[in-house]
Amino acid sequence: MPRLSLWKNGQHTNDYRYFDKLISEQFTLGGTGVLLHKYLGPINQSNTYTTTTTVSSGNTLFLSNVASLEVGQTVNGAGINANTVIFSTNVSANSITLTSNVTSTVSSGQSLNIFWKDASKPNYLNQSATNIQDLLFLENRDRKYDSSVYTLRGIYTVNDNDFNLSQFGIFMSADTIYMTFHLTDTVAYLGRKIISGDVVELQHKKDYYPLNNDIPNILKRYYVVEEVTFAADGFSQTWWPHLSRVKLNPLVDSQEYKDILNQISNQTLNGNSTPFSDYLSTLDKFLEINDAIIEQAEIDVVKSGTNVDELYVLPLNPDGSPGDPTGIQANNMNLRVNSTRNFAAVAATTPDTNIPAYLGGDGAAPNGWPVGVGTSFPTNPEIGDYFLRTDYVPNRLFRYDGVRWIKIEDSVRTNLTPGPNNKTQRSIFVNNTDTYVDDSGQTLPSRQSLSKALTPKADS
Amino acid sequence: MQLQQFFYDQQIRRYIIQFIRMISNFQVQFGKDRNGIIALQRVPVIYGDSSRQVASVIQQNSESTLNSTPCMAVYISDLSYDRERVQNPTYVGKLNVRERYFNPATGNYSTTQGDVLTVERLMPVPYKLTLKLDIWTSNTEQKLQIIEQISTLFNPALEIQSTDNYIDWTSITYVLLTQTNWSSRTIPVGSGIDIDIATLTFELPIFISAPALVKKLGVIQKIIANVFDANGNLDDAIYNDANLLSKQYITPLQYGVILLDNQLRLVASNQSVDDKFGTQIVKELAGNISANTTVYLTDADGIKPAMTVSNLSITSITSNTIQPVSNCAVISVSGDTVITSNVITGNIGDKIVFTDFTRKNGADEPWRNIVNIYGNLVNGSSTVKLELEDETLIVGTVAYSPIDDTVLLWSPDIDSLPTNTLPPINAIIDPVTSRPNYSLQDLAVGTRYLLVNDYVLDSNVVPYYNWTGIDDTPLEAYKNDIIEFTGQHWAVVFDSRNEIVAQYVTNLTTGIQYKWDATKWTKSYEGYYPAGKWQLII
Repeated sequence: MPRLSLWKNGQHTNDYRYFDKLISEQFTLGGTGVLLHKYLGPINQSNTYTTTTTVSSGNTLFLSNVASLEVGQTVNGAGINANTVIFSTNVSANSITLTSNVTSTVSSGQSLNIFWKDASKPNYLNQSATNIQDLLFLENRDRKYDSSVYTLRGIYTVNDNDFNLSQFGIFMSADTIYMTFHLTDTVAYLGRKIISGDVVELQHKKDYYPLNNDIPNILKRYYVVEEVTFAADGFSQTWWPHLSRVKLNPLVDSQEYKDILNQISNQTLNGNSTPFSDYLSTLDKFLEINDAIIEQAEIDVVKSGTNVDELYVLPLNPDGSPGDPTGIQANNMNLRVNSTRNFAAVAATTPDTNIPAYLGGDGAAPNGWPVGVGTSFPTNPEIGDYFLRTDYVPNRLFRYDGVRWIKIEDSVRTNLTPGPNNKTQRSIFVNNTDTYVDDSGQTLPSRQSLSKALTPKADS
Repeated sequence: MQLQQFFYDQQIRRYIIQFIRMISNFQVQFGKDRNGIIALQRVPVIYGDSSRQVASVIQQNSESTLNSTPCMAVYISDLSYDRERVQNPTYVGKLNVRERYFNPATGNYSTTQGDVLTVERLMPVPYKLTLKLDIWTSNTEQKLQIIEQISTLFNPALEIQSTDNYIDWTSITYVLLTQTNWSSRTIPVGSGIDIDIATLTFELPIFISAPALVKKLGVIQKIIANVFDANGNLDDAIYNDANLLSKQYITPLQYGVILLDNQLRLVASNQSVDDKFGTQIVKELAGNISANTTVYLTDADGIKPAMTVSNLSITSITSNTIQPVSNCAVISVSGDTVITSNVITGNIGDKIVFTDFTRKNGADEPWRNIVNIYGNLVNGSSTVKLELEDETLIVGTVAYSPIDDTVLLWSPDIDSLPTNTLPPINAIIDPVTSRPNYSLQDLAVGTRYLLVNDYVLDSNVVPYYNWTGIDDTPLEAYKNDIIEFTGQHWAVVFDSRNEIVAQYVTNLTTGIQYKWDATKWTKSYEGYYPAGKWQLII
């Protein structure tokens, strides 16, 4: 009779399987329901294009639109050599020329991956949880999750937690959960163990009573898996582990989990068109707060510099003497104080200067007089007319004195909120949507990163 | 115990608001999602030192709410007095500014001048405000995206302003990036789950200001121009009245004013003024009239168009029932029939008075057109000062007339007006052309007239009108005398030939006060004031 032993040379025995089934049954009996979003790996970041013509030889491929493609981008797909890049593009023919001929027929409708090759950010052809998106920072930022949701049973000890007040809101101070799962059940359901990056929803922690009664549904509780180990109390007499100890931390609304949150946000509940994830995250509320602060900031400071529009500028006559404060036109030289004309019916003198102030020019005429706007001066101006030349950068305000158009000011005041309306020097480098057409007919953006600006094209 | 007046201008708050604006609207780029779409997510910026209660509200009072990242938070780290930037603490900067007129009806600024103000600003107190910007990101790439965008803002500093007010000399300062703390975590991280926060520290040299003193500059109606005399002597030029070359009155637009019945009207420089003394011509109605503009008189001698029509102020006789509407004037005269501008009601025998008031020739001009050039007239608060011949000033508050925009209603300060020294007179008449007991009024004790002509009985000349009393006492009076009916005869009660003391008397018929200056009667303050003799203080 052999000696009794529950350890069988590293083999799973029926004892093990017996224990395993019993333990699994305990999870079914006493475990809490967990919905798991399975991490599938980083999302492929290359652009996918479809060919429009079958090509059996040569190095020219036809696509539906090549306008956004650039010379030097890597092309990957069936029938194409490794390290093949775009040699040239033909926008009118919607075709690209490759640096090498196709190795086999590329059929019409076939998908191609075209991307800027970055060795530190490899382009994977397969979808796998083993892929690493960024080999430099060792991050998987854009994660793909299974569209199916897996139901599991887990057991953990519920703890009391307090909120920590931080600069970004309140956080649960020690809301780390160590939950145990039945190891072989999770493998059977998921096809693998639970791994870091999987997201679980604890169904029993749904909050049915959010502060805002308008929220159309309950607030669900999500955690993300930080790490997975064998639970110490999950080893049976056979010395084989039966349980996974999973460390769970509260989920945050971040880039990594947008694939899950976006799926939730696509749901419209009870006819309410607001995405549910908008209620679940603090993002929208923070943006509302930020918008309100910006709105007030724009009230406090409408434009940069100094506002002199509400101040009155005493007019001057062409000879430099003080003008008539009633505002008689400078060219009405026959008007005197003994004129029988009603002063109220006479147009006013236009000042030939504005109040000197730091960044005070905004293109508006002193005292609010009308301003003509254009890229060339009017042909028959009256003395005292103002004109804003928009072909000057910054725009320049002139006044006609009967002989010359004299500069009054440059329009340098600008909105200070970062954005397209901000015309500060730095902003016009950043908020620039201009384009230019090069000799080959390609339309290129005027704003280019300095590292890529005027990058040499491949020689023929 | 009286407390100090409260003031709070949200100065530091406005800097924080502008700082948050400065770093707002930045975005991070996510990678492609499952649909191949690249998302840009705006990074919200909030104030980092929130109250726990509001944080709980934002969190929906629920543990399930997800904190969002990336996110930026700004908070005050330090506020300290900046000794290095201290300047003369008692310095007061003065600034004289003219505002454009703000039309409350349209809600817009007009092209004319509004208030003219002096602003006094006390030296502000220098402080150094330290702000920290915490950047919470979920990965390094995200952090680099934010840092790269923000870092180009500060080279080494970026201007910030709390207001664009021209008056605020402290509004513009700069934000200096002084320190960057890459991460709140340590390497190796260990088993902790701390979130990763980068911290940028900024310093803002700001000023905190006391309230400004804003005063009305007023309107300079008299300008002492050419303050130096021919020898370059400043004092003589200013203070020597005899040096006429050194002083000149300048009235903008050379407008004069006419004050009548506490109403001011403008007189343009091209308008002629007929400054009548105010002699009354008293006539008698030849028939009853009821609310009619056609008036029949016993005779219309001396009546001219534009004369003002009124009743005669009678001291004791109540039979006079004539009731002209105010501002009634003669339109035309034909025979003994007078056409008036307003309706008149009266009975036959009533005395009706025609007076030549001071008037101008030409159209009336709205006051607002002139006043708006210099600022805004505040009804009941703005004042008009009128300079009398002896250079004393009388003052009254003014208000736009609600029914006539060519009129300023003038409410005199009675302390500035001369007081009567003589009992009032009933009218100013010419004894040669006025007929007692007929064209004047029924005899009544105490009736007083100021004469504009001599009345001297000459035995060789039979007077046209007989002023001899009931007791046959003859009247002998001279121009500028005041006579009074005693019950028996007319007696001179003011002997102008022997009166050398200044006297004041009011004509009850017109309400105009007159002044005796030892040689002649003049209107004491009503009448015409040419340019330079009146001031509008708005």
